[in-house]
Amino acid sequence: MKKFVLTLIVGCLFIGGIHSQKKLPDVTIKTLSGETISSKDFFNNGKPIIISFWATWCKPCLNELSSFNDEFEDWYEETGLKIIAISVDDTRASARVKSLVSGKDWPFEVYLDQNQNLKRALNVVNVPHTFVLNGNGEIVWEHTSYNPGNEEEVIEQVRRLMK
Amino acid sequence: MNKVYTYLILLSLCISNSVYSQNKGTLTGSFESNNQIYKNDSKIGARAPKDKFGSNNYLKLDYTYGNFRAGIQYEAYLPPLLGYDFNLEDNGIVHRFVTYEDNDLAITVGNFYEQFGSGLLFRAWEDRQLGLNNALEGVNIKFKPTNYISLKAVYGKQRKYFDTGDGRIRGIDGEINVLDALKASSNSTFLLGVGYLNRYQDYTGPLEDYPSSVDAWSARMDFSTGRSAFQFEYVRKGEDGNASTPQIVSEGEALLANYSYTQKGLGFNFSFRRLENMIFRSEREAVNNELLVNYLPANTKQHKYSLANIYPYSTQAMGEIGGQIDFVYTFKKKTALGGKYGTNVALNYSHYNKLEGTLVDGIFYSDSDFLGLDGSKLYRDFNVEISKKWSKKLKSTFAFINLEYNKSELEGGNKGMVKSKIYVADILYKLKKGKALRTELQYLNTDQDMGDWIAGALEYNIGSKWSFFVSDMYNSGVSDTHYINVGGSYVKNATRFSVSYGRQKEGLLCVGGVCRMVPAASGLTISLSKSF
Repeated sequence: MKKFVLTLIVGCLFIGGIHSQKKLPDVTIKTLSGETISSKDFFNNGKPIIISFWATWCKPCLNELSSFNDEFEDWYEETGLKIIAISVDDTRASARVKSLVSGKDWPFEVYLDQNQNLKRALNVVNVPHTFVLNGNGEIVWEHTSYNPGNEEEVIEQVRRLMK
Repeated sequence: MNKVYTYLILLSLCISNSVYSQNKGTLTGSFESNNQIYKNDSKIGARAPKDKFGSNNYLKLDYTYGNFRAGIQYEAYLPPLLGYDFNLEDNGIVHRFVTYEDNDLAITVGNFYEQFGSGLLFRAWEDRQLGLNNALEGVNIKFKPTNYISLKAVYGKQRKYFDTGDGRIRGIDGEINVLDALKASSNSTFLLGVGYLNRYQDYTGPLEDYPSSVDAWSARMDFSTGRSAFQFEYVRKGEDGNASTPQIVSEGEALLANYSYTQKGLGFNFSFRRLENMIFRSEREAVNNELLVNYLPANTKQHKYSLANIYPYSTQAMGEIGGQIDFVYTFKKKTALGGKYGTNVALNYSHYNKLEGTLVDGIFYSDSDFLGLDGSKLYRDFNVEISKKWSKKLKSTFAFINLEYNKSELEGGNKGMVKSKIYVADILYKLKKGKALRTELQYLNTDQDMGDWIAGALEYNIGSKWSFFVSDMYNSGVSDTHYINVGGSYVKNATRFSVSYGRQKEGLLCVGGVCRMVPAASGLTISLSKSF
């Protein structure tokens, strides 16, 4: 019976093909002051958005965000982009997220995805995981993990949208 | 019944997927596979299972069409990796749901995750690394009668491996945004919330007045204005039973309070938590991480470096009191201490004591004042971390961690208080053409337990796709053992493939302060993950 189910799933995937263009789902997340907002309301006036999933205990995530922070002024001037950093820290660390974000003076919009509902809805397996969205809010590129220097590839994807 | 339900979802997934080009539905999903081939390694006490193989696999599919969403998760443990519960040895579709959602109403039937407030009262969640999934199977309703009130209701049984537990859970939670409700236009936020939860599990034992039905409630507040923010949550839980005692466990309570102050370049946070008799499961007999109803993470900093994670604090749900202070500051660019790029300093201090009282047959009898700190010390952590970018090519992080870990209380045995100092240097150097080198050096110094440890890692990255590492953890104090690992990974967009070979130390693996014991293991690990 189980084999049958598996075959059915795999079969389905092949017949239908996999639709790759993800849109942002409607998932409730929290601002750093505890208010709720929906992920479908992410907005940057028709300009691109970078979304990065991260956690306070994740070293490569912090490396990625600090490299975004280093480049932000230049990137913003060039493309008008917005960076949204979504912390998947649970309530253990969500209070620490706030002190970390202010202390590091990050120029990002930061939200809390405490029970990982948005992470699941976007099928993120591990952090860091980065999305690039075009001006219409469609996901045009995604990448998992961070190697030093990756930020160049991310901004290259954003630049492509500007053409 | 479950099977019929599964097939219906599958069928609808399949049909909608194959006709997808004519409509606006989308199918997304993810796949994760972690495999290990084990070998015996007497030096570290690693014993390969008979099969010499472990494999955990997860396939998740979600289909969205208009206001509807449906999904499944297939899991296969063939057999489970070492350290995961042997009850997981099975495969099948364990998670399935259908959701209808519009602007102010969402109804989910099937399996779902949910959380009330900070989770102190209720949290249904998944963590694959911990082998933990306590999703509810039942009904979840979320309703927003106005834009400043949100209500949630849950009903169902919790997942237990490939089955559900015996106990039934029902709960409601409400939150109001007070300033929005009063139409006060200000920069402040004031939220009030209350939650109620009941668990029912039949009791057929001999004790009179034994509680088969357990009530718990919570009240919480969230207030932020200008640079300051306060958070406060209180939970009370009725008499209950648990696996470690046949007696009735007294009422439990939990208090969590937070204050934070933030401004540009500075963040400060103080938090306090007290727990008493707060083990809460949907089945009294459950053990380990099974069927947890509430979420009680360790209220301490979760460290990023391996040696700092040898002594991780785990929450003492039956009785603990303590707090944490966190301070993060950036010295601005172009100042004496900031240099060209700025310098970031993070300080963190946490301290936890046992509640004073006695634990008899698994029941805690408190005999301290509510805020009494006379119980023995369980854990103390003071740590500093300084990160600095020196040039376009060079970045460094230095950390110092001073830990006191009451091993006898937290793990059992007679090692007493382990006092350790940990030093970390983490240096990143970018080479030409997208290549980068990262080195990590760590030293743990202690006179107790296993004595000193030295760890080193070297990581070499080529572009965004390739990464290689070699690492060693060496116990120079007692066992004179090396834990060497080598490996590499390949990433393309949202697909990651990795291979590594080496030894894994026995110990506690903690994610978010919930821990599981990992046995010593040696062998080859192969992992693949993909989202689509």
